[in-house]
Amino acid sequence: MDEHPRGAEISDRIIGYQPGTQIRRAVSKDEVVAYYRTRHNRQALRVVERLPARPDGSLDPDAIDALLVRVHAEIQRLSEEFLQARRLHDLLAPLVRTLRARGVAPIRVVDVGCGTGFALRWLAMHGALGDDVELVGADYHEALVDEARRLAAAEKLACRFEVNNAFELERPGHVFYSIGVIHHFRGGDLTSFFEQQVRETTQAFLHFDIKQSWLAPLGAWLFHIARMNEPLARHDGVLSACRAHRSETLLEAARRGAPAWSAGLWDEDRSFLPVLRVMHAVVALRPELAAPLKRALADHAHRLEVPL
Amino acid sequence: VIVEALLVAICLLDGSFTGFRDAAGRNKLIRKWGYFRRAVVIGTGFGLLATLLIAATVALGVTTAADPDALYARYLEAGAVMLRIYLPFTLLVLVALAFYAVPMPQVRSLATVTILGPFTCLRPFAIAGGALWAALVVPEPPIVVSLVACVVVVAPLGKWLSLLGVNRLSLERMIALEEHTAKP
Repeated sequence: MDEHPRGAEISDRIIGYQPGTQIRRAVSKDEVVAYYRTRHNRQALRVVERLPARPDGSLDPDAIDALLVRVHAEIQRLSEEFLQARRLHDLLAPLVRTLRARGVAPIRVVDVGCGTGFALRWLAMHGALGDDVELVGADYHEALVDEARRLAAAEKLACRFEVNNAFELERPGHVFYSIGVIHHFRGGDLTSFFEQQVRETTQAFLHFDIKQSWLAPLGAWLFHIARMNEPLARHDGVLSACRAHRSETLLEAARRGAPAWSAGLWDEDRSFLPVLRVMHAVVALRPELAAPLKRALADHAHRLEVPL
Repeated sequence: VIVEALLVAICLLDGSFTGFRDAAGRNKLIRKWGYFRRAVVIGTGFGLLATLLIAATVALGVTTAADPDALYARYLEAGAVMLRIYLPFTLLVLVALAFYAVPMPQVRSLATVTILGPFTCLRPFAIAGGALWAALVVPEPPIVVSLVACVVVVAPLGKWLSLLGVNRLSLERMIALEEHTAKP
């Protein structure tokens, strides 16, 4: 486990599930405090020390849920500013067209670790992928999924959200994607994460994350100071940029996890300042899809580096 | 008149941007033009209030001065000094916004990363810097009072909006704001 010296994101530590289930378990505030104290992470300590606890010393789950819903609103704000849903659409729409041409119908697109489901709701709102595409969001965190459902219902959007493991849905996905999730998986867990997606029905997966560069931590710090109000969001956002995987690490893990597939990178532009493309994606798809996808991408084909 | 008009325009513009920033990140809906329009109007209103408060300190200073015309001329001198920072700052933000309006993700990212994000962080320092520079050039006490008022009122405008919760609306209210807003 290649852990960052400052530890993991606070949001990873203040939520816990019983092993192998989606059942929440109580998280001891003292244990989280001790975790950051031993890593000399004062910023995280300040955040955690202010979190409300119950008389038994466990973190108040309702307060944690409310906090994480607020944090996700701020994450959505950054995603909007950086046009993340549109960037996802640039790759997803040609992929869906490619699958449709090969007779896959209906096409199920699954957002892994969807949170409050911004990207999925954006796709639904803009009718971006077509009526034959089922949009499904999955997340373990019930409060976030409830909020995603509430928001989707409020705008009458054709998408659904499940409190579930994205890879164990009753009707499995054809395409899996995530945004800002994969840096939470380290070492062998990253390979297993990709491995789980290689199923009979799956055609491709695309996972977006912050692109590691010399500017990423500085840029993340600046934007989280400028745009976010929640101290937890500021801490976790910067740490996420520091923990972002190297492109080579992502590619190697994807190739190990999906050895028979074509794996590559999206938006791995190395030609100019790294500020232009702050997010990239690791992509893997069935080998027979690579060439048609490249053709379907048309003017965007250069953004996908995948073996044909 | 040019100095006064520019300072007022910049203060109103700053208020409108502050209103937008305070609203951003509070509304998780996909469509929120109506919500943002409301936030910008409220922010502009707060900018106007800030302008009036600062103008009140100027009016008080001038009306109680032994030589009102001379003091007002000195006020204008201070205002011109402030504009040396505020004007390029504002113009750069407006240029960045023009680039942000270009429907090309790369161009928009460049505007955000190089100007819009960093300048949000720099804003309080720019406000304080302009006022400090003016105070050093024109150190008359009534003018310094107005400059301090300018920093104290304008710099934390976002905090005021946040504390008052003007953009903290229920989901139902947010939806209602979109019902009569044309899709852009």
